[in-house]
Amino acid sequence: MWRCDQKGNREFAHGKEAWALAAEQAGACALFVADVEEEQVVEEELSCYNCRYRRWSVESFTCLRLPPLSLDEGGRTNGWSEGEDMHHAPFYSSP
Amino acid sequence: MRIAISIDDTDNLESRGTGEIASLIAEELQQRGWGSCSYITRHQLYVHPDIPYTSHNSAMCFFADVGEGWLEPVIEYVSEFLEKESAPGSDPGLCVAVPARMAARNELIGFGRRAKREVIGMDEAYDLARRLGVHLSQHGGTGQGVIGALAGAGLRMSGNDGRLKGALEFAQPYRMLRVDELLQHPVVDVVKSVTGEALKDEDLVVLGEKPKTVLLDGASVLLVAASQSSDAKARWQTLHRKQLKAY
Repeated sequence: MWRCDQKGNREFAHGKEAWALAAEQAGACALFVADVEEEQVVEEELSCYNCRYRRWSVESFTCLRLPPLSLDEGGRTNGWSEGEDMHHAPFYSSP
Repeated sequence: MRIAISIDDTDNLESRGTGEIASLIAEELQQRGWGSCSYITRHQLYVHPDIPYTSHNSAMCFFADVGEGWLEPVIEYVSEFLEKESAPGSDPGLCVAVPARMAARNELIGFGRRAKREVIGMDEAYDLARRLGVHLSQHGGTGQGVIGALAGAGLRMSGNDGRLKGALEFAQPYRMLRVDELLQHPVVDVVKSVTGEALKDEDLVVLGEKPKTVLLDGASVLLVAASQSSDAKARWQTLHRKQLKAY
């Protein structure tokens, strides 16, 4: 679901039009907060694409609330990855 | 006298948005009796790693029709408002342009279009504003918002960029309305098919959730597409928000 961008940010791995996956991810995220109306891009409010903590990138968006991913030597991700329970995610404070 | 007021980069992740700041400014100008204000448009600017936007890099702009003597008071008031009300860590910029006084409006429009696809520096924005006689000022932080503010004014003046802030609201939660009924809404100037087909006044349009208009040919346009509804009477439906992303 997520990948590391060049700056180490947690970037959504499915681009800007993966409507179902973005909704699924937001539905499982305890940190979701709807952005203001004019910045919402999907009717269904509960979508990462409508979250105030998504920052649009060239190909997708980065999440500014979940902890950054880091790559270990085997190339696996440390931190959260697809399938993990984000209802119990620790709050990631803003910089 | 018609003026364009454009602002950018007034928010942070936790604050109210730049659109709300624009609404508050427009309301106050009207309450003070300085003039009347149009709807607010949102203009998407370039998304690039070298641009330090908060989360979406968009500017907000509206037109105000003000008396000749109110231009300077308006600029002073909006400048003070931005300094007081912008969020900590933001880099607010303000542009106030008088289209009728500008000999080279196309240069400002061209700047706006470039700001959707190029990284532009503050010096260039200030140089152009000076040359065109447009007010441009920064009100905190790095002042980077001047680039988006100037671009927002140009894009609004182009008449062909952006979505209107806010969703259309009707007296009742109608599921369908005729085209001529939709045109009675104060914010709908035109109802238009995305495929270019002609609409008739009596055509029925299925209203989606939170319908929204876009700025095309200087008008607030409600875009529709062929209806997917099982209701055979409906010929059209409003576009989904995801279809409006490009505007």
